[in-house]
Amino acid sequence: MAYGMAVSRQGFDVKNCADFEKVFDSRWKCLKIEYQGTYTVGASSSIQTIYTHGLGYAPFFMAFLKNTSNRSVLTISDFDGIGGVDSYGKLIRVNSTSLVFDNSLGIFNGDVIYVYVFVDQINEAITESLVKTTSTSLGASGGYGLKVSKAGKDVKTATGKDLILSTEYATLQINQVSTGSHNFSGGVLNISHGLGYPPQFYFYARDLQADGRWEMIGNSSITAPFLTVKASSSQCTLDLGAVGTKDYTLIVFKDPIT
Amino acid sequence: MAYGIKISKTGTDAKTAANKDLVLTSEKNMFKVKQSGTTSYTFTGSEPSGATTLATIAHNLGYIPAVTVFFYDHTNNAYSHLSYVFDFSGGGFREYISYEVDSTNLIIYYNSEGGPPGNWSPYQFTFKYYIMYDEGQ
Repeated sequence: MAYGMAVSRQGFDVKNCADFEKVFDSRWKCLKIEYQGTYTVGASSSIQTIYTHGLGYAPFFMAFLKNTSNRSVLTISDFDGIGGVDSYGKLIRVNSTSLVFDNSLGIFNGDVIYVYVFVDQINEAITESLVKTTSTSLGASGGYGLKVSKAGKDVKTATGKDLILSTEYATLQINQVSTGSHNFSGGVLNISHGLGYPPQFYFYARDLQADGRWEMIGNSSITAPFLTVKASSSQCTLDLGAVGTKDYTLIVFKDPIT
Repeated sequence: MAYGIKISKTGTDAKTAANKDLVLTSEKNMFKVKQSGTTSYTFTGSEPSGATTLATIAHNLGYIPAVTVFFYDHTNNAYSHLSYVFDFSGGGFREYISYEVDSTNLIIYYNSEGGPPGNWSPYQFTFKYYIMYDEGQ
């Protein structure tokens, strides 16, 4: 017998709302955070360990750079890199043991990064879990809800960042994880998602720096193509140029970016 | 006393499943979206040199949150992540749109790295942003 549980966001009827209007549904997963914390890059000209995760597989990760204005930006979104490096994205990489910062060139010292390492495996495929993609009108808001706090925090008084989830807030629910190898020298990679709208998505690729590690891919490269990653209402596209055959992972969330 | 909740994927036993096979567990935090929304900007006239703010979105969290921003380029019909590197005037790369966030605001901006001014008009972008409750620094 299959059991299950689903909770919608406040104001939506869980029985007929769109997938992205739920907080969670046991038919699909959310990214769960294994570790979050700050790392300050040392002056050493080396590959520096940010976090040893010990998961035994390469996990999803995200990193945010504190820039020279003391503001933060997703590292793949940073453009005006320091020391002639066009993007921080390719400097932060993961394998089955650790997340690292590549300071091999020795041009970084004191840069501050905030990292998230997730529990979820970067190259474990998840079949598309499409159920309902059309939004519904608001149901009775009713005043029902669910909150789960972090361990050690009182759910009645915890603020947003100290809650695991709340029906007041949207979560990033995974629609699919697509993995494989592709010869990028032979053309771009297109992966269907079937959502009917452009979704929130991220691409990762392995071994672009010839060390077997995974990196997150953004548009911050200064070499063509300028639009490295993109989405449409039917597919996501990765264009790495003539790098040969590389492993890739695409994670697609249920949230529309329209 | 420690309380908690675990919910496994359909067909998986919540009592024995590895954390990566759980839909959620109160042992592991998840991203929570404080606010999301769209904002648009239409470029007109000649491009300026240097940085130009395209949008400022207040979040007022009092700390720097994790933020991601996507865009829709109406002219080229493309959805993607910021940063976006492009070239209004032709002749090579030198312009981009990106974003940054502090403890009060998310700021989406345009920047030019110099060169002869091009013509912006008409060029429209729509941005979709996600501001998390979770820290970005």
